[in-house]
Amino acid sequence: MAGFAISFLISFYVFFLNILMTSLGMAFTYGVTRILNLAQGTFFVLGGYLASVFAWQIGLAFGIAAAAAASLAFGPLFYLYVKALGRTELEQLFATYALLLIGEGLFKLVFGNGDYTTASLADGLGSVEVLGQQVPYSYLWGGAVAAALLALMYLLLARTRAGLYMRAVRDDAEMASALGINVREVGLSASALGILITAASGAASSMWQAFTLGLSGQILVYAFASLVVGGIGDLLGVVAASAVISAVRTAAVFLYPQLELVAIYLVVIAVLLTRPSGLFARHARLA
Amino acid sequence: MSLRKSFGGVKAVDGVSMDVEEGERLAVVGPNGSGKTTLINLLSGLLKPDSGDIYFKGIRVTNKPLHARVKLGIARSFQLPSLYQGLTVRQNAAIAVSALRGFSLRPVDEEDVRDALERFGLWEKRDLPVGSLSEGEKKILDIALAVVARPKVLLLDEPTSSVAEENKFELMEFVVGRLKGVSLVIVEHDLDIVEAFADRVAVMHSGRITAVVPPGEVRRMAV
Amino acid sequence: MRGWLSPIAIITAATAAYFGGPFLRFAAVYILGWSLAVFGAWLLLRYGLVNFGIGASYALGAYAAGLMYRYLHTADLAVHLLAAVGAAGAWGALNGAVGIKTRGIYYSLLSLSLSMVLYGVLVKFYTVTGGSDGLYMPDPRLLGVRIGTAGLLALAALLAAAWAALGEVFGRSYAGHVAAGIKINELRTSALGADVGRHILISSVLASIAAGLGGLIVGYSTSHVSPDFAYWVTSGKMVVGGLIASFLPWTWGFVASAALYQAVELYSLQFAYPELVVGGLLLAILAAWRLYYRR
Ligand SMILES: Nc1ncnc2c1ncn2[C@@H]1O[C@H](COP(=O)(O)OP(=O)(O)O)[C@@H](O)[C@H]1O
Ligand SMILES: [Mg+2]
Repeated sequence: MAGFAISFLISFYVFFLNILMTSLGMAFTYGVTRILNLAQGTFFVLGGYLASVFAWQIGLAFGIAAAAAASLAFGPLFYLYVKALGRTELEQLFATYALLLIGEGLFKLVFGNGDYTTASLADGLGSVEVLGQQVPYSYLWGGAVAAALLALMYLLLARTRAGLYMRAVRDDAEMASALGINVREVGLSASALGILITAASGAASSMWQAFTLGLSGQILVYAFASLVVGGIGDLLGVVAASAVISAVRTAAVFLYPQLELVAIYLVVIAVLLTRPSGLFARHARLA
Repeated sequence: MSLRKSFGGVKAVDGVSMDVEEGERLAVVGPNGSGKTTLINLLSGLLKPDSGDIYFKGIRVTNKPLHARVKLGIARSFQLPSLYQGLTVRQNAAIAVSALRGFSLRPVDEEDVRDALERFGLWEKRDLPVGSLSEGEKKILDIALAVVARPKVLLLDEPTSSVAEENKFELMEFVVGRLKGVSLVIVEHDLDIVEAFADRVAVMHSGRITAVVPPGEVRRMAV
Repeated sequence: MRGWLSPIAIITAATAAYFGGPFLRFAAVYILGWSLAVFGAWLLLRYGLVNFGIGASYALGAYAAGLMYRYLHTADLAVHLLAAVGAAGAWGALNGAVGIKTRGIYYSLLSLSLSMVLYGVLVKFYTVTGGSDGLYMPDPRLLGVRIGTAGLLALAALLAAAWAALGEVFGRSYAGHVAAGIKINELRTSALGADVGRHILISSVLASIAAGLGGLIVGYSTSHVSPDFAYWVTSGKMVVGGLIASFLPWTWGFVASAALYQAVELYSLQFAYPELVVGGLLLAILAAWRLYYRR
């Protein structure tokens, strides 16, 4: 029984780590820039691919760090790309959809059909026994990376001027712009942050996840669910919702694997119909 | 029986009881945040009151949605003109005409569109995008759209705000002259306008109507 | 009056395709069928609604017929059409009724969720639905006679022409103007007297029926329907098709956009990296649209 509980918790935890930063990055980018990025999962996968390639050259920790560092460039490029092509929210959505396809094509071109992972390197980190179950240290390191990214994001938003600007733009872009905030620069840095956390967590996930074609779209479907349940404007809500979604998903996989997707989307529908602005929204605001 | 509405802890409208007579022009004055817009929102059906009731010609409309009240004869304008940006004057009027028809696949009656615009002297401007109109013209078009429904009561939230001082009077004269027989509830800051156009004035303060006076006395009560 | 050329243009193109050989015939049926789903997405876009679950209607139209055949052994076209319209119409009513509570991206995510529940059900209840293998779709019969490829092409062309005519009527109608109003400023439109929920409900039903008929045609043309019809990626392609159609000035834009999308997708399969080709095309379209509309 204890063994079952531990293996349930482990698979819950790993899945939570897999979807958390994609959901959070997507919600954060949307909050500040109003761009719903269908290619957010693409950056998660990109982080995983890059980490896998780098780790074989320069070692696991450096490889993951290098992948995260490389991803710093993607956010600004992404923002410029979307703004250049789309004026309305719909056109921008279209642009990110094109990017999702192009990303998939480029992955095939550059990385081919194989599985990319750092799992065998991560095995070298060893494992710890918890109630008779082996828990790899890599899972703990992955959790530490996620915690560090959350802390980084919190400090940036709560303690810096850039974070203040981002919050101002998120709450009311027109007002912020009237107050002299450069909305474009803020959007650029918010995209950079949103994509950095997503790609960095993809890099860390490579310690247990095999990266392969088609994953970008799969991860997106779970991220959507987190956004709805958490409420897209509410970052803490999205964190909590990612936990809810992975709990539902893990329970479904353990109890009734056939109904995994159905279970998740039934939760999503129930939330949308009862709390249209997210399960954790404190109050509804009238436009 | 009096109307109440709060947002969280803020009592925006806190016990208002009021009648508007047929054909009457009631002005509502009061400082910013005193609850005037919220009152208009309650009367038009944009918000539901926490308690209290609204009757229109003997019919209880408290729970009727916005669009149903329009069909009964209660129409409104918005504090900020809310026109359909990116479309022409004619297209804006066509939407107003269409909004009263339910889901109908019949072609829009151009005569109705023309009538709606001619009444307010906007027919000549029909092919201009609404963005290129002057502030005063935008306000007039905004009211013209609301009037398409031939309302018995028209709720006007600050019809002269954002219009240059020297044009306000002229604008009101123009609009009111075309709304004979329609009861008006006008939220207005400019006391000259209130004196010239209102039959009665309700003074609002922190969600309550503190006095209802003839327009001549409103300056004494000055806000 | 020029708008009425749309249905005629569609029929003419289909006739030309008939004489273009078996491949063109197949392609024309497939494209015309798929275009009906694009029409559904396009119609909802007129209200500003991005339905990422329109594929569910598309799937239901085909499954309704496939299940009729599997359990009632009927390949009768009239029965299939009725079943497809009924199933898709009911789904549209459901999607519209619950969709009214949500707007913007929440609407998109709700419709996506609904379709993914359907997808899950189709995959997992394989004893009933054939699971991920899907169902066989028979050659439809009209009064007991197989309609054959020519009949199927005629059916597809007639349906597409009929929906193009509806699109033409809608564009000039009261309902079409209300749609434009709802898209730009929903609150204002209801303050002018429009029952927004009712408009969205009716259009959801219409859009869903169009997509359902489209699924039926495509299912016939490939003799097969699978849960992929309801997968969100399928819906995403239809939304993209609808968006391209809304860039085009003609009422038959939905057919043109479907043809363009399908042609490029087919062409892209020659390459090792088809996603790059399709993604690149979408970029090119968006860029062209942006250059054209430099406001
Ligand atoms: N949607 C809302 N949510 C929260 N508070 C509101 C909302 N609308 C109005 N209020 C508050 O209610 C009070 C009355 O506002 P309002 O009716 O707009 O006043 P007025 O139109 O007289 O300036 C104000 O304190 C305002 O902040
Ligand atoms: Mg006000």
